[in-house]
Amino acid sequence: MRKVAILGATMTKFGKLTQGLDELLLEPSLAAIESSKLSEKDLDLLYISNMLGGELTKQVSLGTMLADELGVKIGADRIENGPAAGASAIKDAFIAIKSGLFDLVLVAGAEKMTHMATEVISEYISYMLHPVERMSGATLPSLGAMLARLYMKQYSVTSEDLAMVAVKNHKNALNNPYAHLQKMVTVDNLLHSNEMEKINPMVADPLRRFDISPISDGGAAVVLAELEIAKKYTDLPVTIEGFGQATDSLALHERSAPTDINAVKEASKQAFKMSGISPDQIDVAELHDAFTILELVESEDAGFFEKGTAHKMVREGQTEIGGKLPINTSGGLKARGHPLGATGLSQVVELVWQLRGEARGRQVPSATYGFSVNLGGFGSNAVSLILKRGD
Amino acid sequence: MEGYKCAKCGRVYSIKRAVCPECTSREFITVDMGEECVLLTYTELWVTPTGVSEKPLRLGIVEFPNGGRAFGQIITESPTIGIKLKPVWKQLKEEDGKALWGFAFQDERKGLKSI
Ligand SMILES: [Zn+2]
Repeated sequence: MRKVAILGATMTKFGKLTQGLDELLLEPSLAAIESSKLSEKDLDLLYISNMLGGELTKQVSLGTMLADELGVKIGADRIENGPAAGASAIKDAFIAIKSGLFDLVLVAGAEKMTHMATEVISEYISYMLHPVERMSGATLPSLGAMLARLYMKQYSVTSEDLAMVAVKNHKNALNNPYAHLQKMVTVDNLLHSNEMEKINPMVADPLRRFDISPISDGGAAVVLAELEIAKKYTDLPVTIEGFGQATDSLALHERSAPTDINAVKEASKQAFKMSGISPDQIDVAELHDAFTILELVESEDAGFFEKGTAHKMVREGQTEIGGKLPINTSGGLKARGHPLGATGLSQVVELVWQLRGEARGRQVPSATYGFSVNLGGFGSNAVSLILKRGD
Repeated sequence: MEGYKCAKCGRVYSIKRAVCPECTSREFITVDMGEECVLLTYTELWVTPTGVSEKPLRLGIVEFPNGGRAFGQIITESPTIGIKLKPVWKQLKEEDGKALWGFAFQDERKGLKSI
């Protein structure tokens, strides 16, 4: 049975950058090809992950554009699955290699956002929602807030508990030179200082600014190869052991329990089944914390913690580096940043670095298995991936 | 306010569907949702989208006695989970110069300032 491995895995720094969308795709691609010890001509397929290229930068046909810039004439597509485009593109590359039709596939993802006004970006992002909910004025944070209110009531979770997720992720990002926000924050200065309303204003009650990931520019790229071929180029292949993907009602109000993200449950269950391992074998996880509440919910729905207990794990430090399951060692979406189309790939890049022992300053000791969840829409589409350090 | 009841399994939807996600039936009966629903969860949105005049914009999920749920603006000064609301027809948003109308859910308790 063919196995799929990752060779080069790179990303640009995330943040407010000067590069355009084309450069945010090209730079990490060149670096990933080079660090894979390949030439562009070795590639036989290319996928782009991007959500709003047309809307924000007036550029689509991104697959063609990157193939052309790399001087190759191979098949190239852009994958769009909201902010889960990155993991979806990895999934498609995995399937392409697994099928036996392709051996070496480049996946590049990017988003250029910070040149546009926040209201404009929020409007385009809300195109992911059900039109009936959007028509009433729904935005992504408003749906996150409705889930949070219900969840917090049901499981006695406080605003401090949510802030602790942000504090942890900001702390991790201090040791990640690629992160957008490299600033230490504390629960006290987020929730108990005189300046709270200024630095951490309410966005969608109960979610405040620091419960929400920033708008970022950034790009990332990963080269995937059939394992036996990968071994010719590296002593440190990281294999993709499994993936899962599932959808749920586009409209939040139609979900049976709006406190749960069933798409994450189902996608993760599939990924664990394909990998033949269980959640307690995972050493490091990158979760889609577009909102702090999502990190808690996903850590439960992916199978790591009992429902309603994730905040206790955060309080006990179990999700910090050194804890039972370090989550978002990169800083997560909250602090590494969230350039939509690049996010899922940057999760994989962080896991690859962790599994190769290259996550300087934030390394989880001898990590063997890594796990990621990338969300498209507001929990309406989830992609889970399981990676393993090569033997 | 109209809803759509699956002719086979009986689940009620506030959004018209082609296929029932519960049982895959394609047959629906139009039903009246009634005059009263309960607030299940809500938010007060301070960063509001373009085309909406209210600030904060209160949004919520409501449930009707027939089990059907809907999403919409909540018209009240003091939202609380569990309060009873009444569907009312209202301009919700303006988009591309066009007024978008739909149902919102109004708090009818006495003594509250009306908006
Ligand atoms: Zn049905």
